[in-house]
Amino acid sequence: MTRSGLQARIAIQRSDGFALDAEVAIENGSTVALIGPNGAGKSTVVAALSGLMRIDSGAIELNGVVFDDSDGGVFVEPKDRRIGVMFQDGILFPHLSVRDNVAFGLRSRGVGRDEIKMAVDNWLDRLELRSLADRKPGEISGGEARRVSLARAIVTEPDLLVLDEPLESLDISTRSHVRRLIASYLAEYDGPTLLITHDPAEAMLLGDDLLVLENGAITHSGPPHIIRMNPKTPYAADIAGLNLAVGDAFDGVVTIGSHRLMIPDNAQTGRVAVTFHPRAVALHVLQPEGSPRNTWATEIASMEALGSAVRIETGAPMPITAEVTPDAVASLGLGVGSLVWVSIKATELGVQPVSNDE
Amino acid sequence: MLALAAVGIGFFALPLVGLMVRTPWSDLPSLLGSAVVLDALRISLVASVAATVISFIIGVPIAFVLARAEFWGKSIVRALVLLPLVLPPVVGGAALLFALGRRGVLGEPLHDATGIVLPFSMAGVVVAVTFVAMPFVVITVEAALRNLDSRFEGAAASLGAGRWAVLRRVTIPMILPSLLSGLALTWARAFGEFGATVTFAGNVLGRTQTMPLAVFVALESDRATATALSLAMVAVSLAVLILLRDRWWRPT
Repeated sequence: MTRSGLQARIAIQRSDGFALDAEVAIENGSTVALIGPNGAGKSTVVAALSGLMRIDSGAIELNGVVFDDSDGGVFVEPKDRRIGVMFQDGILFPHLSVRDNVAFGLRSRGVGRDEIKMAVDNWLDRLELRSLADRKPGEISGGEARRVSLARAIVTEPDLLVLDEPLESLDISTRSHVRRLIASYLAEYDGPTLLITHDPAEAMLLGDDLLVLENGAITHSGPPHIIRMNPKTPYAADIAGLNLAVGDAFDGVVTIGSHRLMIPDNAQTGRVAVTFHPRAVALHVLQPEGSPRNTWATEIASMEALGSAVRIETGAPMPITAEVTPDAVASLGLGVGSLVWVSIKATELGVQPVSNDE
Repeated sequence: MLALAAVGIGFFALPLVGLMVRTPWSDLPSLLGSAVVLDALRISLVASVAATVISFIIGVPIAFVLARAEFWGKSIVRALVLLPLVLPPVVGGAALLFALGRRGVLGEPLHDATGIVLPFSMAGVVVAVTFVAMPFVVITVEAALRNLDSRFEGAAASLGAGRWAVLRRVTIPMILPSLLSGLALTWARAFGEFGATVTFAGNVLGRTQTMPLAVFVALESDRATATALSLAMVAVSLAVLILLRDRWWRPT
C-alpha cells in the first residue's frame, strides 16, 4: 500500500554554512503551518519540495511517488512534480497578463485551449479577478497580485499545495480578505497543504498543526495547544503561547461565548479573531481599578516555569495564557487554584476579521 | 545647473548644425546616388547587420555563461570578452591580423585548408566590426540576467515548464528590453566602426570600404561627398533610434 500525503525528510547543507534537517509530514486534506523566524530555513524547505534545490540526504515522497532520494539517486525535475506553489512576493510574470499568468501552468502541461480558458475563467471568477484578466501584474494591487498567485498555483489541481508567506506585507483588511479566500479553498482541497509563515495568528487560523522550524531544525510539531503546554524553546513559547479567540464584534465589543472583550476599534463588525500576547495579560489579587476595561475574575488552572517567566493558564469564563515574572508570582502568592483578576488593555488586542468556517 | 546642461546640449547639437549648414543640399541627390556612396552604404549596412546577428547568436550564450555558470577563471574570461570595449580599435584590428591574417596563427591553416582569406574581404569587415561591437550585447545581457530574480524561472519550472520553455516564455521576454538595447548598441557600434576595419579589412573601394572609411577618404579630396556621406549616416542612425525609441527605449 502506498502512503498518501507528503512525507519528507529534508537535509541540506547550504554553501553558506547553514544546515537544514527537517521532517515534514502532511496528510491529504490537512494543512500544516511551518512557522519559524527569518533565516530558520523555511525558504530552503520550499526550494527542496519544489525541486529547485536538491537534498543532500533524506527523501521527499508525495502519495507514494519519490521526488528526491539522496540514497536511491532519484530526482524528479521541478516541472514533473505537480506542486502548486504560491510564492512569497507572488513572483507573477511581469510580461504576462493576469490571465496568461494563471494559464501558465496549464499551457506548460499541454492542456487544450478551450479547457484552459474554462479552468482559468472559473478561478478568475472565484477569486474575483475577472475584471483584471487583461492587466499586467504591474497594474494591480498587492492583494490582487496574491489572488492571482493563488489562482496560478491551484488552477493546475496540484498534488501538493505550498503557500509561502501568502499574506506577508498586506494591509490588515486585504490580509483578511485573501486569508478568507485561501481558507475557503483549503476547505475543499483534498491534497496536503504546507503553509509557510512567521505569523502565529496566521498559522493558527489556517493550519491544523504547527511545525516550528528554528535554525534549520524542527523544534516542535503538533497542534498549538499541545506545544503551548510544553514549549522547549523561547521562540516556540512565544508563538504557541499567543492567545487566540474567535468571536463576534459589534460596536467595540467582541462577544466570545459568554464573555465580552472591549476592542479599540468601534467600526469592526462581524466574525473576528482576537489575539493577544501572554505578556500583555496582567494578573491581580484584588480587583484592579482604573484604565483596563477588560477585567474579569478567574482561577489559575496551571502554572509552568518557562525560563525567566512563569506561564499561567487560567480557567473559565475565557481560558487564556498569561506570562508573569517569578517575582510577581511570589509577591502575589499565586498557585494553582488561586483566585485572580485578569486584565488586558484593549490596545493590546489584535483584531482581524475571519470567515465563519475558520 | 540649467546653464551647464544648456552648454552640454549645445555641445551635442552644434556639430549636427555645422554638418547641416555645410551640406550642399541641391547636389545631395546626385552625391548620395554615386557608386562610391551606395557601395559604402551597402557594405556598412550588410556588415553591421551581420555583426548584430552574429553577436546575438554567440554573444547571448556568452552572457548566459558569464551570468550563470561558476567556473575557475571566469573573471579572466569576462575581461577577455569585454577587452574590445576599452582596446583602441586599431590595436584590435592589428591583433585580428596577427591571428586571422593570411600569415596569422589561425589564418594560415584556414587558408591552407579552405582557401579563405579574411583580410581585405567583406567577411573580414564583418569579423572586424563584430569583434569590436559584440561586447555591448554581452555586457547588457549579462547585467540583465544577473538582475533577473531567479525565482521567476523557478516559478515557471514548478508550473511545469521545461528548460527551453522557461527560456522562451520567461527568461528571454523578461530580459528583452536589455537584449534589444544591447543589440541596438552593438549595431550602432558596428555601423560606425573605423579603426579595426581599416586595419584588418583595409579600405578597398566597393569591397571593404564602409561609410566611415568613405567619409574619411572623402574629407581629404571631396568635401561635398564627405558631408553627404556624414549626413546619410546621421539619418540612418537617427532613424534607428527613433524607430526603436517608442517600442522599448522609454525610460520607465
